[in-house]
Amino acid sequence: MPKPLLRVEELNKTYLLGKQRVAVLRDISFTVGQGEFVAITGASGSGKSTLLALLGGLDQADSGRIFLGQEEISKLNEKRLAVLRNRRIGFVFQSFHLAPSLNAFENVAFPAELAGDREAAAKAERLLRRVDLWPRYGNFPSQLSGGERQRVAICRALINTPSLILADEPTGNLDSAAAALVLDLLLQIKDEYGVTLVMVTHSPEVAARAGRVIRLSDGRIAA
Amino acid sequence: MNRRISFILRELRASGRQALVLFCCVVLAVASLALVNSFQTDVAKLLRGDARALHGGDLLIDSHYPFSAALERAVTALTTAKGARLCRLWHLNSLIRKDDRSVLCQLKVVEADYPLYGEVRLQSGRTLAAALRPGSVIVAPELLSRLNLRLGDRVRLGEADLEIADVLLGESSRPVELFRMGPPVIAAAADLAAMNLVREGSRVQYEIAVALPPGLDPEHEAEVLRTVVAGGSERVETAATARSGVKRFFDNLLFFLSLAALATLLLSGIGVHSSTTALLRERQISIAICKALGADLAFLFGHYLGLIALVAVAGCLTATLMAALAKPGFGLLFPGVLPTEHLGSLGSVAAASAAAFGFAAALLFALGPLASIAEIKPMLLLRRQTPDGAALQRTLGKALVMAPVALLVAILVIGRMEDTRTGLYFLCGMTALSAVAFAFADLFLRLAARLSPRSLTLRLALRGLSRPGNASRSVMTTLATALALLFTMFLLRHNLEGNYIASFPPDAPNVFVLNIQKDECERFQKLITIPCRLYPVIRGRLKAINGKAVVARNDGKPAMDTLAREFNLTYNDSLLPDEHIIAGKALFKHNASGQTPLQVSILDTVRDLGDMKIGDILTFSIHGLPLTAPVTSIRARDHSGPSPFFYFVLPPQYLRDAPWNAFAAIKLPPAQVAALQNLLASEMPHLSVLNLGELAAEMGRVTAKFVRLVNFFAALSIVAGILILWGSLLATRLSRLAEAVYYRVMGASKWFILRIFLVENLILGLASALVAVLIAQPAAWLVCRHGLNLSYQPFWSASLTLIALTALLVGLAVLPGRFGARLNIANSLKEQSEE
Repeated sequence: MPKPLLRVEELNKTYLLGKQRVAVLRDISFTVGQGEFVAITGASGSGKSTLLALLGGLDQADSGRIFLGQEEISKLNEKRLAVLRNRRIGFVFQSFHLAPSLNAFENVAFPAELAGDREAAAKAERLLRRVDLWPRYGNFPSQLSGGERQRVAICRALINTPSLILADEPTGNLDSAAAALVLDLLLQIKDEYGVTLVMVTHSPEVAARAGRVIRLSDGRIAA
Repeated sequence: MNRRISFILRELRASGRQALVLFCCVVLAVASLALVNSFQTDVAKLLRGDARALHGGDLLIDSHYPFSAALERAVTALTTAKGARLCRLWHLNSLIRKDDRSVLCQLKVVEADYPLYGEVRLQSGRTLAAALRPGSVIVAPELLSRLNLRLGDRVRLGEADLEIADVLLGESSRPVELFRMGPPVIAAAADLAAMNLVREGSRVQYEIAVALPPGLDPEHEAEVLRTVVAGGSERVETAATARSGVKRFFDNLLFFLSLAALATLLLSGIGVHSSTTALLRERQISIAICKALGADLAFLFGHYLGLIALVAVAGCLTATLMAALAKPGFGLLFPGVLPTEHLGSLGSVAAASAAAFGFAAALLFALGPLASIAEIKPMLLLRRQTPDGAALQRTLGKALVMAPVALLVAILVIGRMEDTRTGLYFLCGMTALSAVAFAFADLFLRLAARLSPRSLTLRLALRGLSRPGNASRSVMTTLATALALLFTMFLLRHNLEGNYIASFPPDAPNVFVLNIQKDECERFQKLITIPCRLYPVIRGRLKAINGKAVVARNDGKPAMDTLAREFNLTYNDSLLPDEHIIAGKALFKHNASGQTPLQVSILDTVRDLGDMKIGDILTFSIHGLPLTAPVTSIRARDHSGPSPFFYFVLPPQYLRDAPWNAFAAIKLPPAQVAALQNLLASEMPHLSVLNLGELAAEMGRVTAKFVRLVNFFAALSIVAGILILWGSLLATRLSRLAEAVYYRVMGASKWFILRIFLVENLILGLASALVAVLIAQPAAWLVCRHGLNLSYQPFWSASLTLIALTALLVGLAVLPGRFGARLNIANSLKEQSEE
């Protein structure tokens, strides 16, 4: 087992649906090692995306603890969470979530610029070249295909060399060819950069390529 | 509940914010129109309700000269043969004196029957006939205070000593206090000779008011009299057609207010257009679902039109209620604009016509966006496109819808103006203004899109301006149009004040003395002991240019100036100190023997009135005698202002012997003006002394009263601009929210996100105000320099204030959006993915 990077302890999360409180995650505990590729699977509504949001500091758990390295995410305030998301975590979403008013280059460079990195432009160029998108650096998201948008999103996730990439169904909106390309790219990059990858997926094929699979069922870890 | 209604109400609930903007636009337009309509009704009641009382007769005959014998005979025949009653009046400005103090007053000398119609309200409650006896005078209250007088005191008017018999509180002919040369004074015609103020060449307006017996048609009798009037100098009008100063003033004011209300309506219309677009964008998915489930275009178009109509009806009702509540406050908000007793309630006709007009305009402006429903395809659901996608941008059918809509709006506006030409001018003006504003906005946004500043915040803010569906161009265009209108008015007003009211050039005269007779010039100059120049004035009319008769325009439209009026000619052998030649070699040409033939030099402003040029032959009528002279030079003034100038100057030898009087322009320290006035009132009482500083202050006082009213209505167009901005913020709410989420996920702080949107709006406000200033400055310059022939001050500090203030207001408009604050990132991401 590699050195642990992400540690989740007794995580619970409920939502209020109308007047009824529904438990989405119940007593979730697991550990992810550095450089590992972990797939989180489960049926719709099993709490996969909620778990990913909690891991990324995008939402607050009701109880339990999440550690990224030695830092307890669940105790951080908004400001420190923002810094954490910027420097240590990269996100890749199913719907890409690129800023529509920024072109591909600007979308990629944005997190580095936010961090005050003077090399932001050079890094963005290097990453776009790496994913063969440099010729399209000036294109806006609406001018790119789904696969291209996802490659831009991957570059954006990588620019601040995070230790953890959280991917939420990154191939869910893509055709099979583009999905295969994106998955290959993610895995190559994981190895190149030594980054830890936690990916939510419905796809058994994708899960099969993961080092480990955490399956959620009714908010609990099933296996 | 009816299913159709429940569908409309459900959609209305789901798009509450956009519907609220639409509602506010309708409220603004209808309330503004209703208030103008109602004010118009008040003025109409005041002026046209009893036109005979306003003008003092069924027929009004006036002239600047004693009436011709033919006209006198015709008028006498009217009384003897048809039983008409007459009243003669003399209007002039004169100094009224008590001991060593004097004040210029607006004197009306009247015969015993005055007024034939209407009333004169006196402090004592008596009738004028009872109070005004020969040897007495009725004065305004302010004259008592200014000269420290009491009832029964004696004052000197011209060469007569008259007793103050009563205090004048009001007259039907003067329902509103507008600009006047001095406090009004009424004297009896029996004292006219004793006053000795009416002399040859004196500036007097002679008037005969005629009351016709029942059964006689005023228009017919006026036509009969017009057949005998002396060409040009004598005018005959009926009470229905006469344009008194008050009527003329209110016609202009109401015209201006109507324009302001229409501008607000058109801008609100754009607000309706953008808020309907935002509403449909918000409901795009819902519309796509309806289509997928089998709803056809007619169903959707009909229901959304019903929704707009429902909001418009609610807006019209609310606006009517608000206007009805606001109208009684008019007297407090705008004191002195109309007498309080004439400010009525809103009025059902005013309210109904405004509501009907606003409702029609709202539906028309909503038709364009509603046509876009056809462009929303059910495929949208499968493509999982975000609501700011391109569906609404594809508007092939839009042009086809917009053309007849624009035509209908034009018909509405022209119908409202009740004059096709003015309506077209207004529409063309507004279109041109908007087109210029749009061109500037487009240029700015194109430049902004190319800029890539180092600052991340600034860069993201600039990118945000071209965010899909952001309507930055519309917002900038409308905001800049409204601000340009308002700022142009501000610049014109302050330039007018600067030229006429607030300040004079240091060397410009501040006292004019009128009516100095030819034979008393020497005595006048000895008396005042101040070196001053006397300008001989010969009254004359321009009859023809190159043999073509000069005729007065008779289309009932007010004109800035006309060649058909009487002019003050002068003779001189040199240019005035502030003049220069712009065409021709010198003021006059000399022949080989050194003599100066008969010729005329004209001023550039009068040249423009008649398109005259060097070599044109002008034919004048001077005291009935024809005089023909070629134009040999054209002059221009170095600056505009209160210094004397003459449109036509002839060589001295041709006019020196004609009947003339003179006026003097004197530069005096303000503290010495009263002393000079008193001296002249005592020694040469028939002279009129105009203290320009005092008159300027009076004009400023009167102007301020009405400017507040005009500004109020003009400012409503700014509110329309803000509503459009609000609509645009709502239209891009989802995009902004999405951006805020992306930025937050990437690690941006709340303050960083707020800063981006704040800077984006600051830029928008800054650019809009800048465009407004870029339009307003040349427009105001053009009107001042070429329209009014005034010197121009750009008021740069005010321009900068406008820019800063607008930027700040527009910038702060983003704050209620709270983008970035209280944002549940996970939920927002989920929602956006699901859309």
